Amino acid sequence: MFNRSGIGKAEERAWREELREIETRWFAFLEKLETKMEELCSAALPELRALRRDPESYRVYDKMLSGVSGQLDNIRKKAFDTHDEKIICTWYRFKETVKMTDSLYDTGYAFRQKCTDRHNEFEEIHLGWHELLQGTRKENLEEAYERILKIFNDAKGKFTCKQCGAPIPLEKMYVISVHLACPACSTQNTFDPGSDVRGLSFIARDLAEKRVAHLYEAYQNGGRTPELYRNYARARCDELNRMLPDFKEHHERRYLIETQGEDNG
Amino acid sequence: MDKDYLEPIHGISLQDYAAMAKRMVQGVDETLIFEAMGIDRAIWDELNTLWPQRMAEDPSFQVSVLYSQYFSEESHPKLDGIRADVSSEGAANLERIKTDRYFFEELAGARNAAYEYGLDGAQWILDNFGINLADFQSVSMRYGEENQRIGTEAMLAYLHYQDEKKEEYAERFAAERGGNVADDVEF
Amino acid sequence: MAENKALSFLESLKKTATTQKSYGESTEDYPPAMDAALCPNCGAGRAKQDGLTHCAYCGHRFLDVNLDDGIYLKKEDNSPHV
Repeated sequence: MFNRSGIGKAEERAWREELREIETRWFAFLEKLETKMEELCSAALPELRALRRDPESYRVYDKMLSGVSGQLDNIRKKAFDTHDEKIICTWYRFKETVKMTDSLYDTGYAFRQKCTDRHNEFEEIHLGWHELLQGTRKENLEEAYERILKIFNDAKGKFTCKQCGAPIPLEKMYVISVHLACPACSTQNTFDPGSDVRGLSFIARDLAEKRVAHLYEAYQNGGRTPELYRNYARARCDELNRMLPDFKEHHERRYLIETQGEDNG
Repeated sequence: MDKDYLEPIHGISLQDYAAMAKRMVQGVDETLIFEAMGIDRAIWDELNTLWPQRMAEDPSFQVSVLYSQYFSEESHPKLDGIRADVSSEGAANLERIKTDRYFFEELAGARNAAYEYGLDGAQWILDNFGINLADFQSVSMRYGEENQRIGTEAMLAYLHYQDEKKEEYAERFAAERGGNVADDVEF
Repeated sequence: MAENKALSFLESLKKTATTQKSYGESTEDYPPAMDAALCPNCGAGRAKQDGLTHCAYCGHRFLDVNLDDGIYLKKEDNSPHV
């Protein structure tokens, strides 16, 4: 009537049945959610990239990215809650009835393991989409930089003194407004770089990081030594100095602070 | 070293800078702010570059902490005369989030939900409750300070309430979009 | 059918993202520009050697602050006769 652990055969059969059914449903459920993520993201990515390339659309881009990421998280949460509710709860209910010495126990343990492994697989796929979506933010940085340079270069020879009309050449790129004296009459004129050129301050760090990403990878894969970090931070600082030479002192001070921390750690 | 970071720049202290920045985020015309402080745009651009640089450099975070504190202050000797336009409903709601923390948590939850559904949450709060981003942030910072006094349990209770409200608003926003993408996936 | 759900969600998302005003959007985009502040009192410009803080002709105060060594602004940009 009873097996050696004291669980009735009928009960054992019922458990096996239930576990199998939940496992099958769980796998199918996650597969459907993965299809949803794929449908959402594969449709959203080209839209996001197109918006990102259009300098007029950055606000729409921000909202779209935030909304698509929100849905992706919503799908993730659905999987997480269901894992809790269907897998973990079943596992606890199982553990309360079935002892570790029961032959059935291994089946339950394997159920839990398989289901959680499958959930981790889902999480990996989610992370992949998440990174692809967020990655669109950095995709067009070189283009944006080129555009800023072009706007500045196109404009820089066109300015004249408001007092005497003599040309005021811009010898370098300014990303904030600055008083410039007219070379002819020495009247102070004020140059405002405009909204696009001002934007360089906001993208420079991301762009610098992107340009030296291979050094960050080398640091990550090379045992995360202080020396490899310094290589990366130095190269990033040099990139920033090239783009925004007038903020060099600040870049250098940040470099010092960042690498000091690395040396101590 | 710490002292240098708090030294005024072009005669403008961190407190002045935070008060100016706050009014700009409130939506006050910046030329009025420059006039009241006796500066021009070129000076502002340097302040708005150098103060954030100091915040990024300061390893003790003192500059950032003080900035937040100053940002939440309402009064400034030179800027009290300039106010952002606020509707009477907005003013009433602002008073309410200052005194009723649950109401604040509700709006904070709603704002987060709005962002997750592709809306500009700050604009959504302004459109629906008449509270501008700067005022909202100021109150948020004050509750952040309060959290340090009330203990973890009380703080978590507020957070929990905020999450509940966020869910409620998320359902509303989802309905406006015809439901979430995976609503039809059942276990 | 299932595919439509993601697409219709995106469609609706894009619609509101485009139509909803963004916070602080009133600050329009503008191109690089050059301008010069003339003294509102006497109409004179500010010559480099006279500094930025006061009008060299009528003494009008352009700026109420004392300039430090900043990024481009320097101490020597304070008008000499304060």
